[in-house]
Amino acid sequence: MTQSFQVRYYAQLREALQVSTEELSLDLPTSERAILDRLAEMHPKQRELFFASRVAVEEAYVDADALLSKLADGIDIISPISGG
Amino acid sequence: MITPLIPSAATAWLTNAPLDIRALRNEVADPAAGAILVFEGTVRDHSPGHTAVIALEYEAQASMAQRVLEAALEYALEVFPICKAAVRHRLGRVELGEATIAIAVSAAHRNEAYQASRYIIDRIKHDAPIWKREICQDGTTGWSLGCRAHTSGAPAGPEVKKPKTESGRMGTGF
Repeated sequence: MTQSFQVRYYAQLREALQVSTEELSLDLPTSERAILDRLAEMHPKQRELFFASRVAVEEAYVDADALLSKLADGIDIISPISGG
Repeated sequence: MITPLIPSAATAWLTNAPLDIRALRNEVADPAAGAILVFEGTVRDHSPGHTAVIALEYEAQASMAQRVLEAALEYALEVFPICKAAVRHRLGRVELGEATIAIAVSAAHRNEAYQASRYIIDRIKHDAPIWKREICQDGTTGWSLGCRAHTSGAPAGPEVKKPKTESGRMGTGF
């Protein structure tokens, strides 16, 4: 089943892409790897940044091997963080 | 929005206001405590690749970052024999020398306070979706490389394992 959902960007990734959100359509269930691969394909110049990023669903980082199917609320792409 | 004295063992907030270190220290004061440890991260004037840094500008996925701050305190209270813990993290522009983060921990003995404080800062640097941009004197800005501990596919999630004594692959620190 293909589903569309919102992808949210922050900080360096938002600036590099010049958008804070975009729509993505993927077959579900999917995975962090598949999402980042797809986004890197759509934005090849930011490939390295996507591959250094983590995916969060419902405000929690997803596990690398998790099968993701509840993406209706969208996902956050957490590019390399620098808090503290 | 510095906290009033809340009868809770742990409070964690993101705030745009300057941090009130004394208030944070008082918040963790406890009759059972023989040690109160306050850690401040501050804005320094340089970073790898940048000289003459005059300020940092923070942004966050705030609700998720709030959860990470809370989880860090909860875990610290669970694992270490401490009395109370509190953390504040700045958002927005923070000037040279100002505190960007403050962590206060009280415990019966100093060792637990040091361990818990170290765990809390490491957890936040590792997991909190917070980003800082360096603002330099010459007008240039750049996103801090920060913590590159993660690549996609790395084990993630809020269940960070037992605290380490060395930060290892954490960011460069303060």
